[in-house]
Formats: sequence, C-alpha cells, structure tokens
Amino acid sequence: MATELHFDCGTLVAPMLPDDARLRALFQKDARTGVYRTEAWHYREVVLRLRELGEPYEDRAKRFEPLALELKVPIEPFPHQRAALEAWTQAKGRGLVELPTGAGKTLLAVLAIAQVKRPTLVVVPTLDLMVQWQTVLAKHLGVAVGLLGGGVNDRQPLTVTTYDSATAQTEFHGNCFGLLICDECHHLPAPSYRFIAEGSLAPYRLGLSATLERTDGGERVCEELLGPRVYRADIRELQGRYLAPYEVRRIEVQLPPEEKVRYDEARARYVGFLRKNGISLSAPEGWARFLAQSQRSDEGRAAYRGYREQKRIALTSIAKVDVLWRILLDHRGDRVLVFTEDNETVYTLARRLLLPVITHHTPVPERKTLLAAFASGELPVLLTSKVLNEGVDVPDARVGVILSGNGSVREHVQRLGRILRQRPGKRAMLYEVCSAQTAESGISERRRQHSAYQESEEC
Amino acid sequence: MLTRDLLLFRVREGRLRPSFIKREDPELVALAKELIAEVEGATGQTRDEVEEALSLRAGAFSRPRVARGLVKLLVDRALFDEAAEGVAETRWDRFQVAAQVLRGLSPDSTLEAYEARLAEALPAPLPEVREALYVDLPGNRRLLGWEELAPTDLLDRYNLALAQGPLMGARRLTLRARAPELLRVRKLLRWLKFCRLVAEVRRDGEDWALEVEGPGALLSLQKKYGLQLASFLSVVPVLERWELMAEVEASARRRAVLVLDHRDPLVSPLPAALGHIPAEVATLAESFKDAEWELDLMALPRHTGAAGLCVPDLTFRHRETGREVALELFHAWHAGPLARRLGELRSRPDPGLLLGVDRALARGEERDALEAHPQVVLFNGFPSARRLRDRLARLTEEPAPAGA
Repeated sequence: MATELHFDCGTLVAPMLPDDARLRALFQKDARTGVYRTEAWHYREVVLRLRELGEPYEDRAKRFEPLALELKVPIEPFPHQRAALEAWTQAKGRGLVELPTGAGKTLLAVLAIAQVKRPTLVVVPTLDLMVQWQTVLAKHLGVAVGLLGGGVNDRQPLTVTTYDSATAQTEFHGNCFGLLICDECHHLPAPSYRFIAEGSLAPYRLGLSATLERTDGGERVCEELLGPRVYRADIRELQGRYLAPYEVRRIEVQLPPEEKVRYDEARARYVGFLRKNGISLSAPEGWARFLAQSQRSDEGRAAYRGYREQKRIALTSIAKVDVLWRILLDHRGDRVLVFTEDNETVYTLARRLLLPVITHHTPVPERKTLLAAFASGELPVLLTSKVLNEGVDVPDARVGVILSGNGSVREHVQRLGRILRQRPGKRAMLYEVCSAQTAESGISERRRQHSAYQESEEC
Repeated sequence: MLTRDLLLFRVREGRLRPSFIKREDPELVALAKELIAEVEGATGQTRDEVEEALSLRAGAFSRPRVARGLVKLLVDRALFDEAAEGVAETRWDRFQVAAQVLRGLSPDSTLEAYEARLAEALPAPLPEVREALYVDLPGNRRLLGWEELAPTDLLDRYNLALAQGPLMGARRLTLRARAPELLRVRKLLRWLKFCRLVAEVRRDGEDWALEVEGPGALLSLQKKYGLQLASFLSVVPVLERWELMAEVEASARRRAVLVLDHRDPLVSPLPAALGHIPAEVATLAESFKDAEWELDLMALPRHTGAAGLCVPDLTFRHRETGREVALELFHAWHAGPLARRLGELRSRPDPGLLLGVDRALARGEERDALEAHPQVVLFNGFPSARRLRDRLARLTEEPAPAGA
C-alpha cells in the first residue's frame, strides 16, 4: 500500500509509514490522532528518502506543480549576483545569500525563480517592499503576481506577502509553494515568524539579507530552516563599483531659548507628577499607571499635556525644522529621504511643510504612487518613520536625513543603505540631526557604531 | 480579547486564577451602562475622540484597569467609516503644488517665504489645507455604530476575556466534562474542529476527558495555538459541569496553571442552539434490544485518515468483551462526506467504524462497491434495529481487530 503524505496546518502527516528507521526517525507518532506527524519543512527529506527506498507514495501534501516561467525582460547579472546564484544552485536550491542593500538581491531572486520554475512565496518585512517586489517580479517574469497583506488577499502562483501576514496564513497555504524566499531573512528567527519556514513544505528555499548576524545567534535558525550560508559580500567590497560612495554628517541643534523654556517647563510638570505619585515609567505598569492617574485630576491632565509637549519639542523643535529646511534647500535638485522615529513626528512635519509621508497607515495604492513620483522626481522629498527602513528601492535617493530615531545599529545601516544606489558621479549624503540638550543626544552616539560609520567622515 | 496589560489575575501556589468581576455589581453595571451610552451617543465622532472620551471615563473609575478592559472590548465592537473619497487625491494635488513652489525658491529662501508662496499657490487657506491633509488617518475615521450588547452581557464578555487572555500563552489544555449531555459534547467537538485543534478524548465513567492542543504541538514548531485555545474556551461554558486546566505564562519568567470550572462566572457567547438528536436515532436507541450488544449514544470521536474527525452517531458495545463498534450515518444528502470518509478509510483502515449508508447514495457504479464494502450497512431511510443486530452478529463471529 502506497504511503500517503498529507499537509495539515503546517505539519506533514502520513497515516502509515514503511518500516524504515531513517524515515520513521523524521516523524513522531501522534498518539492523539493515530497518524505519523512531522514539521512540514521536512517534506523534502521525506520525499527523497521514499524515493531512495523505492517505496510507492501518494503525495497529497503538495499543492504545486512546475510552472512554465521564463525571463521576459532579460537580466545581465553583476558578477556577485552570478556567483551567488551559482553557489545557491550548487547547494541544491537551499541557502542564504548575504549582500548589502542596493547590491541587487531582488534580481538575484528573480533569477532563482526563473531557474526553479515553481510557485513561489516571497516574504518581506514591509508593505512597501511587498509592492516593490510585485513590480519587479511582474516586470521580469511577465506574469500576474499576487499580494497577501495590507488589506489585499490575492494569492497567485507567484505571491508576495509580509512576515506578519505569512505567520497567520502558513497553516493554510504552506503546501502551495515550491520555493520560499525570505527577504531580510534575519527577521525569520523571531519566535512569531519562524513558523513561516517551519510550516512550509517548500523544498527550495532562499534567504536574503544585508546583515545576517543577530545578537541572539538566531542566524543558526535561518541556516537550519532555509539552508546554509552559500554566498556573502560586504558593503566595502561593493562600494564604489555598485554602490555610491557616501558621507555622513552629524548636526546638533540647540533649542532656541523660548523653546528651551517651554521644554524645561513641560518636562518639569510631567516629571514632577511622576515623582509625586511614585510612578516609574520603566516599570511594567508604569505607563498605564501614568495614564490612569493623569486622568483623575487637573494636575494630572496638565502633566499628560506636559509629557506630550516636551516629547514634541525634542523631536520636532523649530531649530530642527530649520536645519531640515536648510538641507532641503541645499539639496533642491536631489531626492531626499527624511526618517523619523514615530508617526506623530512625521505627520506633524508633513502638515508643517506640506511634504508626502509613507507610514504603515498609507494605503498600498498611495504608496505605489508616492514611490513612483519620488523615483521620477515629481515629488523630490519623502518623509517616513520606520517603514522605509529596509530594502525599499528608491534608486535616485542621494540624501538621507535622520531627524530622530532610536539607537539600533541595524536600523541605521539599513537607512544608510537606503541612499546607496549606483549612479555615475553620485556621492550619497546622510545627515543626522539631533537636539543637543535633550535625551536624543545619547541615542545618536549609539547609532554610529557600525563599520559603515567607522570609516572617516568622508568615504 | 484583552491585551496582556489589561489582564487581571492572581497566582497562588502555582495556580493562576483570573480576577473575575461580579456581573451583578451595581458599580460595574452602572459603568457598563455609562460606557455603552458614551458609544451610542458618539455616532459621527472620530475614533480618536471616541477612544479619548472612553479613556477618560475609564481613568476616573475606581478600578481603572477593569474599566479599560471594558473599553477595549467595546472599541473592538465599534464600526468606523471608510476614508472619505477624494482625500488622497486632494492630498496628491497639494503635494504637487508644494513641490512646484519648492523648486521655484531661491537658495536663500526662508521657511516663512516658502509658507507665504504656498499660501498664494493653494486654493484654500494654508491652515485649512494642513488640517485636512491627513483627515483619512485611522484615528480620524467616524463612528457609524457598534455591535450592540446589554451592559451585563458586556460584563460577561469581560469575564470570558479575562479567562481567555492567559490561554494565549498556552500550548494545550485539559478539559473534563462531568456527565455531559450528548448535544453539548457534540457542540464542543464541532467547535474543536472549527478551531483547527486536535484532542485526545477518552471516557472516564460518565465523564469525558479531553487533552486539547494544536496539530503541531507535539513537534518542536514555534507555532503557538494560544489564540485557537482561547477561542475554544468560548464553547466550554456550554457544558454544565466542567473543569479546565492549562499551563500558562503568568509573567515573562513564571509559569502557572490556569484553573477554571463551571462555578466561575463564564458565559458562552456562542448561539445557544444545540441542535437535536434525529427522531429515528432516538427511536433506535429505545428499540434496540440485544443480548450481546448495548447501544450508547455518547460515541467517542474517532480520528480518520490524515486529519479527519468523525463523531459517530452511536456506538455499540459488546457486553462481555467490551468491544466497541461505532456507527456513522450518511443520508441521501451526504454524498460528499461519504466519499471523503471512504477515502479516509482507504488511507487508514478503521475496522471499528461502520458506515450506515442510505441506498439513495448507492447508485450506478458505486452500488456494487458499497454493497461489497465490509464496513458499509445499506438502509432505506434509516437502518433498522434488526439489520444492525445481524451485522453485529457477523462481527462477533469474526476476530476483533487489534485495539478494538
């Protein structure tokens, strides 16, 4: 009797198995339901073993067949892309490729898809990347590309989704794709995202990242679930040839006297209230206690207003807006990306300066239009909070401005990578603008610890 | 559901107990009425305004965390409008104008000069343009209505949410149903399947014991089934007497055992209907008299094929040997389910299961196969007691399969 393989909610199930120790070692006997069960990602190993044994099997698990896919718009790969594809192919279509942002990871993936010719799920961190991948895949492969996420539910043989959407959907469609591509795959080891790869049957897997290393050693999870590291090139190897040379400039701004007075007063009001009521914001319930207490008295409500005022001043002080204004004027002929920490700051700036914003609130069609307008120069300035941190292709961005932000090194490497795109004669510029007398100054120091910043100021 | 910061519970000697509220508490009923009235009177207001007003009331209540929990459940039931048409298009036009103005400025222009030029170029005053620029953000959407609940129902939902919250971090739960009624346990099993969970089910005298978890829970998957387990809890109060336990995370570093039972103030939000036992089954149960076999309507579920779950209509038990044979009935409108079940039996034989099949389904090519199938009993309308006794007698003559 043929062994039957079934897919059940991210697991691979066989009602019965032949008497082979190696095969049975891949499964666990499920005492609850009486079947043999294993994680779906063992599918490839199971099928290879069944073939090796010459055992008849009925594959009711996979719901994908080979696709007739060809490159409609040819790609002439750079040497590093060719080498990466070759290495991945040698590794039998399972592996991790580490390339800096701007080095063409997306096109590498297109080449992989065209080579493997299987339904493919591409998982990306943000909605903007989702849209960008869809555009690139559709252009080069000449087929409709589906989207899952951001309010769109359109699954196709080639589909792009976000990590958040994929987590929820894997138990339903983990058997529909033969190739799984994880862009910015350093996200995958997060406990909430790991199931995307664990619960997928896909025998072919490609992980892409500019920065594989994690402080928790989670890159081993990527290797286990997607395959070994097969190729790596770092930012300094590619800079100058494929990436623009870049300069980093830090600008500390002093709060104007009247703003400093308001900042000090607002901060004193809010911190005084915290002390008087024994509230520590670093305690787990601290913020919730502050909110609750602040609503119970006029003093409390004033303290809450003080909190918001001092935060607003630190992040969007007149002096900073003035500096931003100067930068925008100095770079009037350039495309400028402005990064902020949070949505409140970015929308405040947008209203003040009448400049377009992309955040997670921006609907997918508007994102597409804004990115296209930015790329064409129709709208030369784009504001964002964290959303554009990774991988979004803005080919003509030459200037980046970090108006406020947290201290994560990874975030700032990615922000730097954002503006590094090859163009003749291009020299990219990154500005960091922070307020000298507020809590922000310390954050800026931590940002700067990365090899990309440890060169001299001019590179 | 409630977010983690809104959960209230105590942990004592490793047992976690939600801090349930009393649904008759006049202060809480009054608060629920106030909050509901606030929502009902807020039609047309923005989401930010509604949430702020509700937060203010919650903050002022003597138990703010309880109040914030009620607010969360209310806001989850609120319906907000879609963004007004044309806002994005208008915004696009404004950006175009601003970009043009910016391009036309001299290198030493001030911000004030830019704003002055904008004011000239825009078709509306600059403050109005700024105000309307992002009026379609989620916080600016307007309240249309809400899925209504009575004040005490809101308090019931809150208690259920307090119990569901800790389950979000659980990997499995154990449920004991004390001498449950047939229809209640069937509803439970249907909901189990709906929640995409699996269970090891056994009878313990008159009680049913279930170990409930996700399909991948026995593997080393990172997949969490907490949301599904929490959803499953919605049906448990349908049982009249029950106990439930689950290992949960009391905090980031501390585990505890959630303990719940029928004495807790938990009410199922599911529709009250339990379904019915078909009259023919009830008649058969009364009329089936056999020296060797007894009939039990409370049949344990059986796992079929790769991932199927069969809840038989009844079970026959041999009085002497204890051997059990389950019977699942397929009427004329069950062609699809019958085909599925036959396929599952091919994948994984289950000699302890008989399929009672209406002759209306045994037509054409399938007829011979069904008549010859050793596990199929054909009937017209309903299997007769005599026919079943004959089939069971034949089974007695055959050796029992392993595990039957």
